[in-house]
Amino acid sequence: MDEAAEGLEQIRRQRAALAERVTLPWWYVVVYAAAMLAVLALPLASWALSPELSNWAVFLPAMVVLFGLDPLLARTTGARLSRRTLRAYPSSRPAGVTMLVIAAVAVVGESVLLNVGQVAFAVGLVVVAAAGVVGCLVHQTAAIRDDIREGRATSA
Amino acid sequence: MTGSHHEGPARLDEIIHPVTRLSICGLLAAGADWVEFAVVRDSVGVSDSVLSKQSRVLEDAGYLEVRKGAVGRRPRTWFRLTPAGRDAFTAHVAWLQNAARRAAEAAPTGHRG
Repeated sequence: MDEAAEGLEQIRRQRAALAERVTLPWWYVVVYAAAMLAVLALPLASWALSPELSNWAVFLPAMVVLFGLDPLLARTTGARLSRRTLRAYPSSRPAGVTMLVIAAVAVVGESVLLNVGQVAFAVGLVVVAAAGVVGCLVHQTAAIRDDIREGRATSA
Repeated sequence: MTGSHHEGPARLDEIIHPVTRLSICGLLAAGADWVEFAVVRDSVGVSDSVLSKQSRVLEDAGYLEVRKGAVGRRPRTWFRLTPAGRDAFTAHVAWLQNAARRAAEAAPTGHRG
């Protein structure tokens, strides 16, 4: 193999090494799922408590947890990924957009169900939506890994 | 003369070219914003002192940004490429691709004598 090809092979190896590090530890998935459950349950919490109390007691703590997870993950994996996920990792876009759509549909659907008195269905919708969002997160992480391995990722 | 050979957007960068520094840049340009010292060391397969020396060369060239922090009492050093480092690496990869392509094209004709 000539020097240039060896150099390119070395770059490919480094991309593969970084891609291997992009994994979600079990604790990340569990905490993310719990925080997402709290965020998606906001209409339910507002209905059960009060809008002000649910904002302070449920929504804000959940958002703090969600934003605090990424620095913790970076410490664990030794690599801090780009915050502009959809732009930096093009293959992650479908999962990222699906995540947002699921969250929006869940919040609107939940409000509608609560208005017609279907509390049990609203709770079920929150659980299903949170599971869907976590599934999208796992798919998105796999897509980020592929983008890094194949040299499609851009950062900084 | 700078030691760089221009060929369109492709450019041999002699700061990046040695295999250790090429590997460091390859890892840092792979898609993460910041990568921790130990990860770079293990991935590139060098000792702490070699990584410190090579990263200093890249930092002095304006290609590498270093951020030092701590987790508890443990010091942690993080690296990332600067925009100039990223541009130089992109141009160097293009140069490598051109060189590899030329070598592949020249290979069959090399036996004609």
